[in-house]
Amino acid sequence: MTSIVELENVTKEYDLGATKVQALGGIDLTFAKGEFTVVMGPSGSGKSTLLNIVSGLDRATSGKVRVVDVDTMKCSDAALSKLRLEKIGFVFQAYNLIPVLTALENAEYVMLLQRRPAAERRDRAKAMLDLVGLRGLEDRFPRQLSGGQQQRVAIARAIAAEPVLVLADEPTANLDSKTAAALIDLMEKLNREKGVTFIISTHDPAVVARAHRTVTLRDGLIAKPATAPDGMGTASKRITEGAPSPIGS
Amino acid sequence: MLVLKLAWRNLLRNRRRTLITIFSIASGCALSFFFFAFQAGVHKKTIDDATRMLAGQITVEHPQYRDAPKPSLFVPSVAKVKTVAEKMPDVELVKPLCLGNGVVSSAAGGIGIGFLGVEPDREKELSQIARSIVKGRFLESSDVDIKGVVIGERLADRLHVDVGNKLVLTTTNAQGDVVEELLRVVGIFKLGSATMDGALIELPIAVVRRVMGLTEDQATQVGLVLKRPEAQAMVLAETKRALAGENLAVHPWETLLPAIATWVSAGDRANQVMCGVVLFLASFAILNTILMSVIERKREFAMLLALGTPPQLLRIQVFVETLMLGVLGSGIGLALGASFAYAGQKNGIDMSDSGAAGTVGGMALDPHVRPALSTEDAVFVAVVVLVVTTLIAIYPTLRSSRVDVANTLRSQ
Repeated sequence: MTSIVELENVTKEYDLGATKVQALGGIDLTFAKGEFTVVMGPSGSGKSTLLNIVSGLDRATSGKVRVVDVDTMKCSDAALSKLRLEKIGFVFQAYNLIPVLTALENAEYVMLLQRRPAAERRDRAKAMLDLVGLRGLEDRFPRQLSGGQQQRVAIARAIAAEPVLVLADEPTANLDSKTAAALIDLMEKLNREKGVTFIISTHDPAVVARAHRTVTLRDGLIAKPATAPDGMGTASKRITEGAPSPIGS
Repeated sequence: MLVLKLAWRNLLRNRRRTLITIFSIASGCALSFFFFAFQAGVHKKTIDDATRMLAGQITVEHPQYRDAPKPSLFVPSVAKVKTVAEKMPDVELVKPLCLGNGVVSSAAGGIGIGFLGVEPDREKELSQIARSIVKGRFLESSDVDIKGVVIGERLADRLHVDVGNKLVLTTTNAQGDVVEELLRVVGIFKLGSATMDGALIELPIAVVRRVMGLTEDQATQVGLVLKRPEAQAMVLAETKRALAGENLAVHPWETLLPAIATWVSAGDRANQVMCGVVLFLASFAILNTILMSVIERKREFAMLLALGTPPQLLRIQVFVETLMLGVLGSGIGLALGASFAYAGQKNGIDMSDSGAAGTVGGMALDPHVRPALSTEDAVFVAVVVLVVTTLIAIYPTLRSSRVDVANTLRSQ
């Protein structure tokens, strides 16, 4: 299966002045196209850092990062921004919709930045909102929607521009269990039916239970082998034990 | 379109704050524009009074008269100047004048004065003196026979003369001889200026011509009173061109009344500086609003950047929001200022009780002010707001895209 994300010996170190903290301690990991992968681990284990490096929002301190055949370590900020715009969809923990735009306009937003024709944008955004079960709520502003509905709009926005990869950072963290379950169903359906690759960071066991593969991080390292219950995924699985200590203090 | 939509809706997010900001800018603009109109009204009235009473907005005289005003340096043919001027549609009327200096004497003594020979019937409609008679009456054409004269109240007091009394004017004529003329006071005026009320007399031009030894077609000046002051430059150029071969000088009023010209110019500059300061201070409300808005939306900006929004698009959006506040504030402010000024123009503003009366260049300022609205002033105020707003927008605009996206999203 074609790999969409390749990480090779990736480290990330934060300089806090007197102290340096190692968030990732040398990760080797590959995500295949069409995977529905969960990255789990306790708070501070490096999940968000990993997702930020994959998305190009943050840069690794060392190692190699390839995302959709682009060596992101060598990219300018503008090129990373373009990569995100064209190839990656985001679902954030706290809904993060644009509060002054309606659900439909939010779903259209990324396509608008991509300069797609107005009619195509509108049709596709409507179709995506329909797909996530928000038909009839297109003209509502985020403040007029529940948390679950807002997160559905965020998913519609993430997939409307047909990205090859969707990164979801704790997407169910602020939702009740029923809404969270519905959201997982939705993401899994999109993965299954549309072939969208999902990398989801979460603590939520309900999400983990639905994953094709889980990667567990602890103290910036992969804590146990990634699993691929459906036989999907060809991730290299390196187990690195031992938590790195803050350095440089 | 997206930028405009986002900017407008973002301004509506915190309506109260936006309204307060717009009100602040609008107040500054309204105040500035009203002051411009008020001052323009004072300037316009003073210039109008001075030019109509004296030698018009444009004056034709002998080329050497400015250097050494003497009766021998006169305009040889008023008719020729009239022929030229009356062809120009912007010229309201042509007024010949005979100016001079001399001494007026009564039984109480003699005082040095300036005298002004005018056409009584025409001057009645034009001159501030005609409107300022406090005793007796203004000149009439029949005063040529009785050699009637109107004098200032202060001069009358100093000479101990009243309406009906006689005065003797002593001066030199065009031939350089000392001449005398017996005059009869027909009216006393009070302009409010010590210079005018204490050292000016006005009498029929025919009498002055006779005293000076000039013919009916000669005068020391020919003034052109214009229908529109804005046409001054054009009429000046045209008059100069038409009289090019006549050994005559053509001056704008600023040359004849330099004190008033300097006062107008200094007043305009001072008002512009004050306007700039007021609007600069008012614009800090915009800075506060936009900066607060940018700081509050840090996470939103991080999210937008994460989605792939180009940083320059965020900067443009914040800039447009700032500009919208400036445009709305200045638009409303100009409308308010114009409304106040228009009401003042219609009804007049009486400043006589304010103690603000004064003189400039010997001319008394009229305490009844009618603000004058001008497009140039409105444009000036709008441009100042836009320039100040643009400057103020720089910091929040730059700050909007300087977001550590990963850290900001992590801290949510």
